[in-house]
Amino acid sequence: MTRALNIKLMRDFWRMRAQALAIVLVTAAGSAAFVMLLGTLHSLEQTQATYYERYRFADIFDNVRRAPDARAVDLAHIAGVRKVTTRIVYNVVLDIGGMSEPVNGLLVSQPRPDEDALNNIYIRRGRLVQPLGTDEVVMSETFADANHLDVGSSFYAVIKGHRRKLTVVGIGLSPEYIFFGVPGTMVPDDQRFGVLWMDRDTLASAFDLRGAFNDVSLGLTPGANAQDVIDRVDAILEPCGGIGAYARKDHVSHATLNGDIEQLRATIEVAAPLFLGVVAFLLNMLMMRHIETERESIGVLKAFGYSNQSVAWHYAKLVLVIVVLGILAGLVGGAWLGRMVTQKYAANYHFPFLQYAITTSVFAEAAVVQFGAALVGGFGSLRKAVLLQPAVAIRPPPPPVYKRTLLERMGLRLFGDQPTRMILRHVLRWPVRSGLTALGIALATTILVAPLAVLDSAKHMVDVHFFASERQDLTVAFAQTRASSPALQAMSREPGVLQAEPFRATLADVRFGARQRRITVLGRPGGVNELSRPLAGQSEPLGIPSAGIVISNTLAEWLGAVKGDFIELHFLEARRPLVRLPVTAIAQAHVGLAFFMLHMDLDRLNALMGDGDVITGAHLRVDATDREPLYDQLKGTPSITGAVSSTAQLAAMHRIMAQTTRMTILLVAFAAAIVFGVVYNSARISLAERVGELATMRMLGFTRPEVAYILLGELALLTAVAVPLGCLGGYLLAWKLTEGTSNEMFRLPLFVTRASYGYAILVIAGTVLLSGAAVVLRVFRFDLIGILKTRE
Amino acid sequence: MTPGEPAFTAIALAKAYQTEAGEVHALRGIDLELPEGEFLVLLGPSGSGKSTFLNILGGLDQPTTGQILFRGQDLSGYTERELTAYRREAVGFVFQIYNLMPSLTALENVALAAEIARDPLDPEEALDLVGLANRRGHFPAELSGGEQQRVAVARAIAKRPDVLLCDEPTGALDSRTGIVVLEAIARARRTLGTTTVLITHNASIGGMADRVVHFADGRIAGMRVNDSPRAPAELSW
Repeated sequence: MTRALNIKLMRDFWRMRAQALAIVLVTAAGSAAFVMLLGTLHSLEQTQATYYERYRFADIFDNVRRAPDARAVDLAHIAGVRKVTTRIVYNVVLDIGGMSEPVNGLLVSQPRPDEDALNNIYIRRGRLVQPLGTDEVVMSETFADANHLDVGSSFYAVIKGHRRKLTVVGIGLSPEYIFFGVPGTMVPDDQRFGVLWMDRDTLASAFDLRGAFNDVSLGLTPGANAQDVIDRVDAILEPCGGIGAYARKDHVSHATLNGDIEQLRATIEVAAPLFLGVVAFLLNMLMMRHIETERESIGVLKAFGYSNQSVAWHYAKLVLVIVVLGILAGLVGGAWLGRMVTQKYAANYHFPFLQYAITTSVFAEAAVVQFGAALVGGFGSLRKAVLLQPAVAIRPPPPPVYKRTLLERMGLRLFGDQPTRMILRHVLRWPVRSGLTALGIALATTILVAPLAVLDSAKHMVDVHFFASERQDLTVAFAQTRASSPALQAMSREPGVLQAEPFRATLADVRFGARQRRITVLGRPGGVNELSRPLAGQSEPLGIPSAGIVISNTLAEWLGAVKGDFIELHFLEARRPLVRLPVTAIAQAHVGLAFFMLHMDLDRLNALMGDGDVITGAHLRVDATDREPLYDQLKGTPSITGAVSSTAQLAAMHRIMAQTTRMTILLVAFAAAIVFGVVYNSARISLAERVGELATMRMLGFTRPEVAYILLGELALLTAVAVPLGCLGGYLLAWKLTEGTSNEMFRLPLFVTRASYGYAILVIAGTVLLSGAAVVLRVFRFDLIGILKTRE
Repeated sequence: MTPGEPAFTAIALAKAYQTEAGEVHALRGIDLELPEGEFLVLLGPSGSGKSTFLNILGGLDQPTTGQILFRGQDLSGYTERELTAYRREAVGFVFQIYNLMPSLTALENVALAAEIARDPLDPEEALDLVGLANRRGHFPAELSGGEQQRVAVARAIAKRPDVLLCDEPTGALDSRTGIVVLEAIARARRTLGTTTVLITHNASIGGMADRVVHFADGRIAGMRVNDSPRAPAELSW
């Protein structure tokens, strides 16, 4: 008896293989996405935490002009401070063979061997610099890889005006420099910015810092109040030219990495349950409908004398086989995809190691939710079928009773021809089911639109930044202030320079009401500048007022200041003037560096500072065909500490976005799989229910396309209702994702192109059409006579 | 269309089906001529081939060998597309099961067929012909079996078909209801002059035909011309 049922089970499975495969596909897509997303997130978080801990990433950071070693002892005495590590850190320009553009190097003193220092170096290859190894450096791996350098390679650096040959003895990594770039750049650029760890004594002699330091890191005891420590550090280091201590959360590398992980988390926290929920709902619906179509067989089995239990178990096995296959495929596929994605991320972050960990709870959660959904859906219908008297069950369910829809009863005439009326009445006859199908399509659209929208926003931010705001080809920063006219003339005379726009950057404490913070003040030529300029909206440049200041929207929000308010500025250089200036305009800022920035007229700034007509750098427009000689020239100029090329930054940004694009493509594939599963099964069930009607239409002389219209028209209608909702959902989800992404480093303004909606709609429509077509092919193979004469 | 001219001509019409048990011969050489406007009743036991013959006449099936001419055109050479067009323009079907669209009202079911025809009756007029003008707004689930079948008849004649093909139209109905349906068919035929072929197990229905053909084992076993066809109301079984 059971054997016969088992054979039936196998045959059933084979008969409904296409539908079963669609359900397996949906289940697999759901669990794979869930496992992949959560596995990636957990692994990255765990790896980051372990990396920070093992290499003692500091909690508080500060830079000073010059502080005697004795200050370090004072810092160590601050309550809550566990460890103090001082260093010498300098920006220099490098000359790397094969790189025509100027390359920036950050020289960092290597911890002494006996020192249990913070911000330790992980040596990937080679060794640390030996004491008094004056020409030796340990090079950051990202920089070495990007420039094809390795242990034994040599290059030149301009240190305090002297061109020195340095040799790589080790390749290293540090949690402090996972992401870094030239100060003032938008994106990390591995190729043009590297960290070089050198012997401390060598650096001390070169920069005249014997018995002193210009960089300090502090480790805190658990539970210490970071802000209290920062206040104490500021008090101790201010006389030494401290720029203001900051906590780990404001550390560029950490903030960027965290921003990345936060974005991933925001995506995952929404997407993972969404995927699982969508799939659970689908499973429930599909199983429910599948059992409904099995009603007659259930009646026959019961008529033969099979017990309710054995019939129930028979169908439960069918449900279980399908779901188990789907979940297994999903878990294995998800774990594999997760590892691949995590490896990509880890490689991108240059983690020295990777702790790939999918907790069993992630697997269990995915499996339990999906099982539950399938069983609840399957058993609900099964119970109904099993409880029917065999004599009732054995007959097909009575034909559905249609009534005029509520709208029609209210006097509205359904428009269109009879086939269209059939579609509308069928949809309205089962509003819950139609609604659920539409919801499935809508959710898949949401999953599709959201990542595309986030990608759009990132692209838009880059476009605004590089093509509307920062339009220079190159930015050079001087080692110290230089007299404006001679410096600009010198710059203009450099080969290939078409235009030079001066700026002076200086630090100031800004205060408004109770709020105070240290920010960068940029002095720029008055009026609307050609190259680098703040923006009023998306792309309208803002002029620099001759009196008053322009502040970023972020700063305005933080301070609570509006246009017309007077803001107090306490400059930290030259004669350290204290002034109150009116806000004349608010600029839009999307990138961290511009967040807390204040723009004012260069001449006015210089007049306030009282140290003459000086600048600290210039933005340059350069002849694209004539860059090499300029780069050569800049590399040999000791008074230049940094040179940043916008094209290189743009390229780096695009490399980063390529990563996001890959992730987006993966999500698109998942969404498409889900849509296919939903639509194919809906259409198959719809076909099963309406096979007689469709055959009758063929008999009446309706052509195949006209009959297909009944099925496809219904899908099209549901899709047409679902897609706008899905697009709206995608927009809202993207809004939540970009909100989650915004931090002190980035603010992603939500910007969705029509192309993204179009692309999402195309994918959905294409998938609907494909799955609909697969079902319509069955209409074309109808056995008309059989259906017309045997249907009851 | 000229009365007296053949609407259909079957020449050595044969149909065989391949089954796992071997070849089954449903029709074994039928030669028959149907004049325009004739009312033909096919009688015969199950499996005698009458339904296969009707399906071939209606363009739902094609013969294995032989010819079936409709007004001189050989239907056996028609493509799927041509057969669909033929059914659309020329044929009205009524089956034992009504095959109505549950989501459309009586009137809308009739309109479904009328909308794709070249020169249809007004759907209301078609419903009126079968005596259901007062039930036009009802859905199939709200109609009795006999009413549903009359809607099916109205749907079949709404396109003004050249031929009306009825396969056991009263098979599922009691005699009183069956007669009402037959009256609807007779009235429609009279009004439109449609060539009509009706299959039945019920020999007494032959009384309303112009000619009765007996099928047995895929062949024509007998034929009887009815000189004075009776009205359905005069029939009883």
